[in-house]
Amino acid sequence: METVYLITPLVGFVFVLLFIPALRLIAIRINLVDKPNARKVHTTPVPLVGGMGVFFAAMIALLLAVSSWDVLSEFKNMLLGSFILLVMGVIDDKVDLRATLKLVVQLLLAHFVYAQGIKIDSLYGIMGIDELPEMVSYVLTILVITGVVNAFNLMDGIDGLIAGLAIASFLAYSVLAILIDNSGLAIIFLAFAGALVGFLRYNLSKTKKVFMGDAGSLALGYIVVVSAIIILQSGKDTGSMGILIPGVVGILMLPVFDSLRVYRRRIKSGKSPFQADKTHFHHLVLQLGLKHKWASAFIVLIVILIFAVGMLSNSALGITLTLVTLLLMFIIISSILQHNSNMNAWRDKIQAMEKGES
Amino acid sequence: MNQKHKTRLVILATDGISKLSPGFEAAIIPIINELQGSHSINLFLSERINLSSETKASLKSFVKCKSFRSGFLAFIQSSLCLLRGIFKADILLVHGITAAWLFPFIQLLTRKKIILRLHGMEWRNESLSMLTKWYLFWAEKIAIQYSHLDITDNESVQDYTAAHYGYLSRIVETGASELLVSPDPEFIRRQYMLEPGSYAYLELSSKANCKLELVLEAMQQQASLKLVIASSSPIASQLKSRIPTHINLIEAPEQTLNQLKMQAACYLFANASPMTDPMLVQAMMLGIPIAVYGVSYNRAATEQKASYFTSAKELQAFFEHLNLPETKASASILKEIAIKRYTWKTISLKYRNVIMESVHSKKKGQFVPKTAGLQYDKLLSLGLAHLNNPS
Repeated sequence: METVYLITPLVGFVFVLLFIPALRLIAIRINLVDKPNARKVHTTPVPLVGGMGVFFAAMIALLLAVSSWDVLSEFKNMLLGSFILLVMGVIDDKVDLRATLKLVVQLLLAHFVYAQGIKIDSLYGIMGIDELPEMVSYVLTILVITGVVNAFNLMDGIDGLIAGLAIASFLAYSVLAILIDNSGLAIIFLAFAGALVGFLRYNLSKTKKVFMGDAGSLALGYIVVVSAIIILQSGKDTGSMGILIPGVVGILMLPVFDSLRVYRRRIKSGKSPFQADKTHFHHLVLQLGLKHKWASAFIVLIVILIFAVGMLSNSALGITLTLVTLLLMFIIISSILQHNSNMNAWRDKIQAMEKGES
Repeated sequence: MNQKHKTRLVILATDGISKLSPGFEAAIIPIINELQGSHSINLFLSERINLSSETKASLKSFVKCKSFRSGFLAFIQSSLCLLRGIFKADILLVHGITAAWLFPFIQLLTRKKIILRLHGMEWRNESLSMLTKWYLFWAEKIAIQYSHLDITDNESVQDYTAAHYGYLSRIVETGASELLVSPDPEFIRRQYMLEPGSYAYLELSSKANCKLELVLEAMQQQASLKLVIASSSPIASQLKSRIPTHINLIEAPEQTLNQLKMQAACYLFANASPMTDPMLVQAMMLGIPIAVYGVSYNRAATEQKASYFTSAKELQAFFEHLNLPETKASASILKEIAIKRYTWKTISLKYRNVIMESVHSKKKGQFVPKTAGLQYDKLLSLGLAHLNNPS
């Protein structure tokens, strides 16, 4: 079984290197590209085929890896849901769907997985709370799934970030999946991780660049959050919840809390929470003067650090205190970055004041 | 007045993470002379500054503080000096924001009054590490918020603190002494082979903000004036690589530089530091035409009455108009401004007034109205859209 853990990501990697060049040419021909504008950094249209390439390469790697379909049947709902989001994302990348329509589809898919039994039905002792009433479980599951899917989508702002985050997430999750003896999940994660590494080669390229697109970020976000719920449900009776919970929360913490932080700031300034601006975590990291790929690497390192701290500190602190520690880590890091951003903003204002331009 | 009944004033004039500003460095002795009769003065002073034995004798206590290159050690020292000063003070006159982290505790736990003497925007110094800049940016906010009064020497810096923090800084200018020597043309002919009135004089006070290349470019385009670049400190030799060899570069004591200054055709001030530079102030007292780099701080210091340049072309135009009556009239006006605002007698009185005011001051209040934070739509719904806050 161990060989499959090595070969699956390699297969995903190879197939993505085959798929993306072809998809890229098709995308340019049918104008499935991200056009530059004032808010964006790129100056030429970039094909939005990364999500499709990753998904198809990962699926082929999966199908080649498993000895029978039964291994994957447990996860068919998750894979089907992500495929629906992928298709919706491709259409959105092409014609710009209305936000409400996209939200409705996400809510329906969240409801769908809940109906299949994939749900947050317990808080596993966090703040002393265990089993949740059904209505609370339903609302929480829907909120968390749609929230994380959108949070992942919002993180797709600089080269290498969404892929880097997803790779870190899938590798971390594969460790957790192996821990609870769920080899099917582990293979899924490794397939996607391998495909994403191949995608990075194009995402960071100067001449053959492709973007993930909404198709990819929505589908990946969906897989990440639904598989997190599956991991927790699978690990319920294994005695490993002390590691699983901080591990899962540690991976999801940055995208989710960054979105909440940004919404809060926008509401506090009297703006719509969904109004696009440059206040996300990756924008703050760019203000340190890092180039895109190094900023992405930095953010992924922070996520890995939060994950590692979560895994290591639970035995000493217990679940609730560990989660509080992780939250504090995020608050401290984002506060420092925001402080740096404020300093840069005032530097610019002062330069304008010095020239008499205020 | 009996020492026992005098208000205890502690002056902290140490080199923090940023060195003491030249303006405050020069102000220490006039402040001591003005206040020694009514205040019991304890002074913590940077080792770079020498005091006469007479001045030291007039102090209640005097502590010489090392000047550290390491920002961390400077931070520790400034903090320790402030902590020591708390026990000796009714009023603390603190230069710079290095130890500002202690201000909230002083306000919370004691009844000491804190007067902050701002030193520009210390966090903008590009030679500092990112961590240091972060600390200073935060410290500036804490310092202004938790001091009872804060002083700056420049209206442009006052505008900045008002815009950023909503508090109004007091203006206490930087002073300079009038040159009380007569011009000696033979001296500069003999020493430097220069004719009085045949050269433009550029004095260097800072490496970081000096627009030296602008001046050099402008000088290349004209042939009527030579350029003399001078400094009484090692700054001149540090900038040697940027200066062509045919330019007169002079590093000399102050008396020599004074002779050169007084007999120049015009004085060039090419610095953009966020403060009122004592060299500029002294130059204003000379009564010769002055061209100043046109940044807001310099404009505020000269009350918009000098000739300003932000490009080589504008400086060339100044050289061309040097002998016009308007240029000479401007020089006289600048001298009047300097005598009115920048003499030590006026400034030390201002310090006295600020220190007296601090005795009765309570927690600082912002001058920003409560409606400032509201968005336009909210103001409209309340029928207050005429207030129309810029967001």
